[in-house]
Amino acid sequence: MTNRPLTEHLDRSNPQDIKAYQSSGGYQGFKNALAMEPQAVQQQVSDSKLKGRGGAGFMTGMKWSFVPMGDKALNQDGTPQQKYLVCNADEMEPGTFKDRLLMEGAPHLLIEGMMIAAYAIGASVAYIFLRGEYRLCATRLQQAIDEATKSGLLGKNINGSDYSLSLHLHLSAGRYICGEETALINALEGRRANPRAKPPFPQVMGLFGRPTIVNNCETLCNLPSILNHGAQWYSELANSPDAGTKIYGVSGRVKNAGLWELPMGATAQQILDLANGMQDGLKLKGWLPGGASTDFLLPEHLDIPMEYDAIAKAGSRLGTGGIIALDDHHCPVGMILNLLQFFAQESCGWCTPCRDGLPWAVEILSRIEAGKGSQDDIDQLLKMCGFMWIGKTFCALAPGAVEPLRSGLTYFADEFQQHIDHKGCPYGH
Amino acid sequence: MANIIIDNQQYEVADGQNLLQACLSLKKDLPYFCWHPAMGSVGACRQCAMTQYHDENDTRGRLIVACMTPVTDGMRVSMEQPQETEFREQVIDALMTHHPHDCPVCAEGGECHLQDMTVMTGHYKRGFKGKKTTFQNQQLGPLIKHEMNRCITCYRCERFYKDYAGGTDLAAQSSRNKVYFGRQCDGTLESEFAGNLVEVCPTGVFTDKPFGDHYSRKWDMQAAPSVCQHCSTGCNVTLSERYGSVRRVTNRFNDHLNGYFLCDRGRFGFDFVNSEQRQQHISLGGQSVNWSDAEVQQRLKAKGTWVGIGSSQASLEDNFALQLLVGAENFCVADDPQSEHLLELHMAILQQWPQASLAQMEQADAIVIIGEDINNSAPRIGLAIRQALLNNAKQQVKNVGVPEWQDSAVRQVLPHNKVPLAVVGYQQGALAEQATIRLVADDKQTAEQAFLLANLLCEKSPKPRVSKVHSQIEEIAEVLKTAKRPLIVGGWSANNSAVLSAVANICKALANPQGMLCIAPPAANTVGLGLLMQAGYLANEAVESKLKSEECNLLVLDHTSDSRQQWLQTLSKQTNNVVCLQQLAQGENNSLSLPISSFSECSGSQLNYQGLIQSYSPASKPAGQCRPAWQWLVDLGKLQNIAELASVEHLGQLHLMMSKLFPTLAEHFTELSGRQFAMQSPRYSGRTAMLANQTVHEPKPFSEAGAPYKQSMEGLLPGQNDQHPLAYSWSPGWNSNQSNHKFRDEFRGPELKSQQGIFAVPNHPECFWFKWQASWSANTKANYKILAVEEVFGSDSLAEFAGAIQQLSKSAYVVVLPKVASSLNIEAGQWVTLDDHPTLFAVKISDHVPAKSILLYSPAHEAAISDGCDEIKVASKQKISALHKRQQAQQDVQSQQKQLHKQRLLDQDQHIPIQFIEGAM
Repeated sequence: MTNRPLTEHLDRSNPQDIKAYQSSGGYQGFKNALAMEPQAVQQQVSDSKLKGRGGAGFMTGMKWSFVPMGDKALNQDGTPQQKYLVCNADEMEPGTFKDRLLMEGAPHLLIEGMMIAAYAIGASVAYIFLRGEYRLCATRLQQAIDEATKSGLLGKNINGSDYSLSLHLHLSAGRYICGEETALINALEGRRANPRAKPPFPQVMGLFGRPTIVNNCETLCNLPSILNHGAQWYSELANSPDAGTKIYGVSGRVKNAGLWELPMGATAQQILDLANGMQDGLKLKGWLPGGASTDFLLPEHLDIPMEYDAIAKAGSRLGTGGIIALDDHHCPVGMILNLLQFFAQESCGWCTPCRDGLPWAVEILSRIEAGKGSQDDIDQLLKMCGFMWIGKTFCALAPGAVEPLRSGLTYFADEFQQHIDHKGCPYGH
Repeated sequence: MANIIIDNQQYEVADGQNLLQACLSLKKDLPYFCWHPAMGSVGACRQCAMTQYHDENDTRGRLIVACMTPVTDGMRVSMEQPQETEFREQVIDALMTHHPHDCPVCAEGGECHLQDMTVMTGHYKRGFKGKKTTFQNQQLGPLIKHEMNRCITCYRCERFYKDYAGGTDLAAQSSRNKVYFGRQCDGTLESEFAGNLVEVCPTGVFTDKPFGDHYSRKWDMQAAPSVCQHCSTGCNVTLSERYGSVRRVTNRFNDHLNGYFLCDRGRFGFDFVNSEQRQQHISLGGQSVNWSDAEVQQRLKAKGTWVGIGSSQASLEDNFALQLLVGAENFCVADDPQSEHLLELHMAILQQWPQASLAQMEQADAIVIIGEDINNSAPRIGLAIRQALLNNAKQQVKNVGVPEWQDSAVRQVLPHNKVPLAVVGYQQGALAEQATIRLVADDKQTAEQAFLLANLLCEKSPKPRVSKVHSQIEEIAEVLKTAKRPLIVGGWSANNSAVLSAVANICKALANPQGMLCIAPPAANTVGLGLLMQAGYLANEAVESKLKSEECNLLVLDHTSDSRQQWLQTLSKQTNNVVCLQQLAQGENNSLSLPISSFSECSGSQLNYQGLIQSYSPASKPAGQCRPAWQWLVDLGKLQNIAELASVEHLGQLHLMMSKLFPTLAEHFTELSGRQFAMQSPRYSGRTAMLANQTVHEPKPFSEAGAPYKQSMEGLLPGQNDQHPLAYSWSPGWNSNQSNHKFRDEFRGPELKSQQGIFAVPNHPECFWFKWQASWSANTKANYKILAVEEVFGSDSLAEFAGAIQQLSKSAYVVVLPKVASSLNIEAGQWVTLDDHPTLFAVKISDHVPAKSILLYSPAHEAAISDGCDEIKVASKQKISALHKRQQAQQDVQSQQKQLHKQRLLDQDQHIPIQFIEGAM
């Protein structure tokens, strides 16, 4: 049995076709699931303690449990309610490219995962909401979908059972906010990609007003092995409160940026070592543990296990597990400005703090970086961090965007001060 | 009820509402933008932030937005703590980063919700140091001006225009802080409710264009509570006046009728009162004369019978005075026998069945529209029906524990939870497109199928000649059987009494006490004429013979329709003495015409489609020799020694006389006695200065004897007395129409309060079946049956005198079936002629045209066309070029007139005619 359930089938240059995938144990998890009651599949996933890999780390089994099942999922006329499964493959978090690896390297793994999830919640239609720029993923996924449909794994009465599933690939028109599950649903319906108010939660009223589960691509890719090898096997893969493995990544000026599948709870130091450390002459100054919308951590935090609670305790979030390393030759103010520019541009424009607060923060940061900042600006930035914090905005985009800013203001206060005192960027930017 | 604690004080509030509604209903000043009482909550602007606490020991709490938080028993919140007040101020600071701060030149200034909220949050210093974004504005047509830079991105415009009113050509575009609300490209806004954007927008992005051409600040205008004149709904409006001209119409809240919204015909049609065609002097054969002139006196005192023709455009009082003057036996209520018959029938149905208010219609769970083009005949009712379509979706979200005011949730489930809407008939338009069941039929088939529907619901209901029931009708019957609150809509559009009878039969057959009925008559006071009819009338068909057989004089109350003008021409051949009471000079003939006040210049009452009596007050004074029609008639009565009118000096006396005849009216006419309300705000400026270039004397405020208002700053202010109508909506800190909540609860609650007011037509509980009449079965012999359709802009002859409406009016068109078009080899957009009729019609092609019929629209001021036509021919090139020339000439005249009109009004601002200042002649 493998200890790399996500990457065991992976081949980026020449991904397995359906036969190769099946002969190496593929679709066994789905077959096992199909032999079980949907609720039993849900239970097995709950038991595995799988957490969502999109960034929030919500228990996958628990998320599914809110979907009305059986008698509770009937229309007014007594017919069973249409339900949907959506794979969130709109991977746009800066510094994050794990889903791309999975979809390019093992498209059938995702499809099998989706089939298991769809079966578990009783969905007969599923969508892959794919980032529009992921052209190769689109080609390979569509190929895989066609193969699966042809061999009877997708479509009506799969493997002679009562269960039917049609799977569609949808290419996003391209907004970061589509990673927010309700904005994704709106976009999929053809509406503006604004997030929806919760409640109602998508599990009850989602796509086209029907019960819907939106799961991250990596989350879904974990399912085949859970169903194949069991919940206990899966949770024991990691020596950590969090179960299973995770695809960790590093970007930034390291020697060998990339992705590695490691058991949950590997330390950032281990990951950095796999990347062969920083490029010559550079030292690590700080790092974002899981994409652009997480708080900075310092080199002193490198030995903390990369798991949800431990990273939270250190003041950040595990997020997507895609580390962005900041080196000592790079201006932290410039980096924060760059990140905030991204978020300001990607705000959907729905709620005031995000729509008008982020460009405001960008305006201030630009001035500071250009050496035209003042002490007031720092105060104003701190205020803006509060203004865009959780509870004040409609969705999590702005609070996420604020994370590198507020931690940056703390950890790199000296650098900010230098920009103001010396009326310019000390790094010569 | 729920007990909630706000800032450590306990309040009892109604269950089911959100915290913002609760706070506003408690008259607390909590700022907000994106929420709207009629459109629910979406939580976008974050302006109404409060803090919610777990319990009394929780000191930190958690920030919430009040509009998205349902009130729950025992909830503990704060509104005045620094955490939320600072955040609210920051929100203003943020959403104003790109606002141009151009209040002094902004038409919204002084009644701007953004100004009010800014002051309310205490924000005074701009924090943002960057550059402002500049947007390109769009030309949105003659009604609405667009100034995107002022936008604070509250999404209200889009939500009203698209979601609430069903418009398709205005939407949010782009994203982040570049969100743009407009059309894809320049062009006139298509929705007939676009004018509401002016009031829905919390700042000056969408402003009233005609008003902007002749502008005044809200506080400087004298405002009068009034009632719309442009259909039978009776929407409540506020008229605003300065320097003797009426400047604009705004919505006056009425829970059961218009709510917060008006249609554009009502909002912009009022301008006929300022029209250049207004008659201001007594004229005889087109020449100005005086009352005391011998010829005039001779005409007025002429011997012989006086025959009076009433008007559905005139007030109840005017018609009543005419009826008194000529005697009921000489009082004619309709321009043609068919309308008279419809009116008789309408009154018979109204006596049997109370008519639903708009708010009640919004609660319907099944709607059947029979032969009525409600979108065009009474647009505001169409808008109300549109809201009813959401009811199943609202129930659906409630089932999963989400409150129905959470608008986006409701709209998510709307597509597969539509309330059944059946449309039977040939009418086109937005509601027909929404129909879940649609049967295209001409007026006769519509009536037949509706009779059959009644019969399906109850066997006792009489059958028509035919017996073939369309499957759609069977479907409708099933829907109606299970519906809890079905709504049946009919009206005069089809000009067919069988349709009205059928609608009444369906109601009787339904026998559902929760069932609702709405029959839309054509004009603002049609039902008023129907009421007076009860005291007796002269049949339309008898008028001409009466004029022929004896020496008669004709006394005519103003009506602007083309059919009226044509009929008068016929009648004037039979008598030498025609006296017209006119507000708009129309036609040249040998008649004596007396200039009368418009609804904006005198008090009056009218009955809406429900028979609800509503009164309006004058916003300005009558100009020139204009007087209210009833006053001319009373004077005429005195000249002719009519005993009933001898002692009448003011409107109150007429009211008393009317109350004796129709006792139900008494309560309405007495309820407004007591202290008068002020029409000018305490901030009205220039009171002593505006006339100083002409006279040093300050004229006495104009007022009619016994009237409940004062055209001055003295008197009751808004809200001081519930009995009085709100002249204008204003409250300290709330200068915009959003101040409305200070005078009422912002939450309607699950149970609709019953409609206030007096229904003038007494209800007789006994009701009978209407039988199918053989004459209804006749078919036309022509090749094509002509079915007349209406347009919001173009079919109301009165509104056609308003410049802005004129610009929007469509030219004549016909709608034909695709197979007819192909057999005649005509294409959409081509010009055709019908038989020998001189008018050119543009061709439209649609599948929803009954067989052997064509739909025809011709504007109000173009000659009507008969029931059938034999030949549709492509118009010759000469005719088309002549038409284009005519249209061009017309446009030139219109734009010239517009300039002159504007200049005259601006001149009037400088120099008000003295007699006009003093009011009376």
